[in-house]
Amino acid sequence: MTNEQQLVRDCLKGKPSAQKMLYEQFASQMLGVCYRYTKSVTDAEDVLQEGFIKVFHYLAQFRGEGDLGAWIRRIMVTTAINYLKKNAKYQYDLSFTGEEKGYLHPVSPDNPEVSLSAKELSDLIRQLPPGYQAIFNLHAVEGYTHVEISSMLGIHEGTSRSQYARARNLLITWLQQESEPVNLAHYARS
Amino acid sequence: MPDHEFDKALGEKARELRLQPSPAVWEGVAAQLQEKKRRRGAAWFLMAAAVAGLSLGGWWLAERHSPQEGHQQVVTTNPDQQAATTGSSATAKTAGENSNAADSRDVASNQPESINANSVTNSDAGTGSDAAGNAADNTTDNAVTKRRINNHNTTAYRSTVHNQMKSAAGITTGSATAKTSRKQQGNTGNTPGIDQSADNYGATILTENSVPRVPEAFAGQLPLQGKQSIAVQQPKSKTGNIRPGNLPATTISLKEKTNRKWQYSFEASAGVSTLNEQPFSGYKADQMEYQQNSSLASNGLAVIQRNPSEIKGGFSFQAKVLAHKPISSKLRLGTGIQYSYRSSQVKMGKVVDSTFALYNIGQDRILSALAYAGGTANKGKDFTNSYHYLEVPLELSWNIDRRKHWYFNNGVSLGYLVKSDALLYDKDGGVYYRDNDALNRWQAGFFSSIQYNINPKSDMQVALGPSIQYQLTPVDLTTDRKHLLHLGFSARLQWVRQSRGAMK
Repeated sequence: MTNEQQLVRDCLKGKPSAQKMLYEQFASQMLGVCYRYTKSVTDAEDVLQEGFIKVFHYLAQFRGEGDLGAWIRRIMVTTAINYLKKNAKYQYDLSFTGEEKGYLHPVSPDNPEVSLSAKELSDLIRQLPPGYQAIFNLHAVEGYTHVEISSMLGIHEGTSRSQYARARNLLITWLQQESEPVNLAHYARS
Repeated sequence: MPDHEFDKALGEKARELRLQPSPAVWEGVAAQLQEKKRRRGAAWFLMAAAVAGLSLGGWWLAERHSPQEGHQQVVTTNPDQQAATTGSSATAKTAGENSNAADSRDVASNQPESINANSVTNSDAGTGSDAAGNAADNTTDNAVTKRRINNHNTTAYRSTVHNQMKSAAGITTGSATAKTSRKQQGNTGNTPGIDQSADNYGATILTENSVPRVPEAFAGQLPLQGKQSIAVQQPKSKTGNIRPGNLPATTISLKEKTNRKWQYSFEASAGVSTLNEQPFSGYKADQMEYQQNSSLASNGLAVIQRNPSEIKGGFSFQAKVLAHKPISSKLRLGTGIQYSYRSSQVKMGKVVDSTFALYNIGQDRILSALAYAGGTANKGKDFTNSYHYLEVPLELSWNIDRRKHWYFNNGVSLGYLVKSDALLYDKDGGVYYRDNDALNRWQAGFFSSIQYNINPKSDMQVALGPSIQYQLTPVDLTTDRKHLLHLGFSARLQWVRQSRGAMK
């Protein structure tokens, strides 16, 4: 039995020391996940707390067949998505018209040096509008397909694809400019 | 750089992010975990308290009623005193000369039998006038001699009493022992009247030393049956002599004996089961599980609307075999094994591609499961969720009335889910899916029933009445508020070994 399995068993027995150990083992990594989906550290910590409560509640469902970190990560992502859905400040409209598409011509990633640190890149992702941000995170970082994302967010698959493309273009633009992100309002409403 | 490599590089870089949370996060998590543990502990404590309270209440009520229903006391006096009988069913007084007391001590008018004291009159009783006189002189002595007669059949009792009272004051039949002083043997011929009102009464005769006359004979016949006992208490005389007729008061205490033999029963109950938030508050699936999936959708984009089906009650059935052990005349504890079937009904839609619709924390398992679209929007067909449990009940049964017709049964049970085909609703995906790992395998609950025993005097008894069982544990892990409730009508067949020689 691995240490991780033993740790899970101890948590299932309700041992506080094991629960804390599990938390400390994954907290920093998972806060990184939550941070990318939210707009503030406070919100990220709220998601982290809610996510870990779910982790301990549903730990019995983890059968030890996969990676515990990946399992906890999925819970964090789910919690973050639900948090976005519930929280009013993440729910403003992102309507794009055909006219606006003119601003979003494809940007070629010919020279996209991803020389930013993880924190800088995450901060850049967090500058995306909430819808873009969630879809970019889910597809590019977590690896979900657009079919899955459409199901998760309750949108159509085509919407997921198009919004991902826009998010990606924005990021590339910002990376190429090596400057502060452009004013979103310029893209969102003209 | 190709697009997918660029995406991959971005993703990998983003995943490297590590941030240290503030201590308040863990404090919040720990506090919530502690609160859950406390609530769980409180639920168990409440269950235990309920069972304990029920037991104590039943015991108290049983004790409160027992003197009226099952305990009689007969007091006989010296010739100048009266014999009194108290009891719920009979009260009688006997008065008269001591020598005639035996003839008039049928103290309970409604008693079918009484002991004829003459049948056990000690032949030596009247011979020791000197001894009797000495005994009268020594009635202030506080010591008493107890004589017990334990009988397993009437004939043995009567012959034994007759023979032994001729020769000695100590009388023993069956397992009883009798000890008495030789000095007092001649003075024990007179036995007070004894009466008995119902089955399973044990008789205790107490002769108090504070009154200076000895009753001369039994008054009536003792309806003897299994394991009855008679205790005679007399003043212990230093000289060993008590004058006949000089023992004043004789208390006959008739206390109902509890039939403590094991009893066995088979009970079946059929009815309806529902999913409830509270014991009497139904589970509202549309309120609890519906989720508007539009928060992140753009304007003008179609949003998939998924409504959960209303959950309707279904057929339920349970059968159990119990062994009961009486703990008092009114209470008995029982345990055994129980099979329970519960069901509920939902409307489900067509089979859907689970990868299209499902998303929750159990995604890996759900993705490989069969999923159905939510029923409301799909005009789906009925589906019966079924649950099969094996349970171990612990029951406290209380006999409410003295005629042993009405029983109030309560208890707790611990169950294990052995099989289920129940569907769970995924509110994010708006679909029903099957995942038994998301069901609570262990179930704790409590049950209650009121039953009318239609033939309480028979060895094989039948009791009928309504029953209820509520599961304290939620049926699945997806919500804390979905509890199974069974409401039904129960029939119990119970085998009760009646005492042999019971009075007719």
